[in-house]
Amino acid sequence: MAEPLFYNEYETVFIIRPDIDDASLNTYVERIGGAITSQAGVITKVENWGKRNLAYPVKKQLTGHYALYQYAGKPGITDEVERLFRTSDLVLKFMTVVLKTRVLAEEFAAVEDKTFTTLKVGGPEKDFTSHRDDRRDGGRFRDDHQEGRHGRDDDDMDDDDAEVSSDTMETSPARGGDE
Amino acid sequence: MAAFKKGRKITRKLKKRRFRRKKVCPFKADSTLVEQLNYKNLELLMRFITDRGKILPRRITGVSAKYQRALALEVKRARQIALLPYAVQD
Repeated sequence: MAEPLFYNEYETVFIIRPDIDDASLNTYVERIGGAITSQAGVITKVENWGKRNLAYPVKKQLTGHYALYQYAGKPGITDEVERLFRTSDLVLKFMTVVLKTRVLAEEFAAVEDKTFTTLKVGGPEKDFTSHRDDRRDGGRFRDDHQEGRHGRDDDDMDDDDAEVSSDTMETSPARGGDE
Repeated sequence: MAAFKKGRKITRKLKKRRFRRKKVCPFKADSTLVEQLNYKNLELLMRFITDRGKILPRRITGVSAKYQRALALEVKRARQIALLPYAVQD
């Protein structure tokens, strides 16, 4: 009786140099896909996020083509894929995330459409690398420390609390300060 | 002396007793957010980081310990693949 075959599911994002043309980009991405299938992997998703700004410079580049493969295979399949990334000078950065472990191999179905089409995923792009001049001072959370707020002993029901919070903490959905 | 100290403590406690609405963990309030929580969802992650790129503390955002751990992991993943910055310089 055959042993049941278990696969792990992985997701690999990699960033390709911004200065290559579309044709070689597609060839490279297809080569990675080929490497996955040659290792008996099942590709379950291909995504092209297009050219995005990097949050910080990588190998002196400020932008890069993002690509994503989601695939299932035996443990160790990532070794071959990551070896390709390491030996290639086209790839700026890559990251593999384990999505599921020990799932029966039959449960994975390959995507029919393996074309590397551009999808806008990954959310908003923000330019983190350029100089920011709207910077506030580093003590933005001073309000939440224990000091201060003297001479306000009696107002137990202070509803001006909301006012204070809205201009100090615009990035947070709610206000803190649990003592 | 001891009695005085005790008394002071109580008044301090009273001083601090101010009305504060109880914060609810955004992930527990909306279970669809949990599914959306991954390193690729920058729109969501950016709600929980400062504009210097730091992860906001739970006491500010109200996220439960469980989801703060998950959130921190995803922010760190996003940093690794250059979707989010490790630090934003002036």
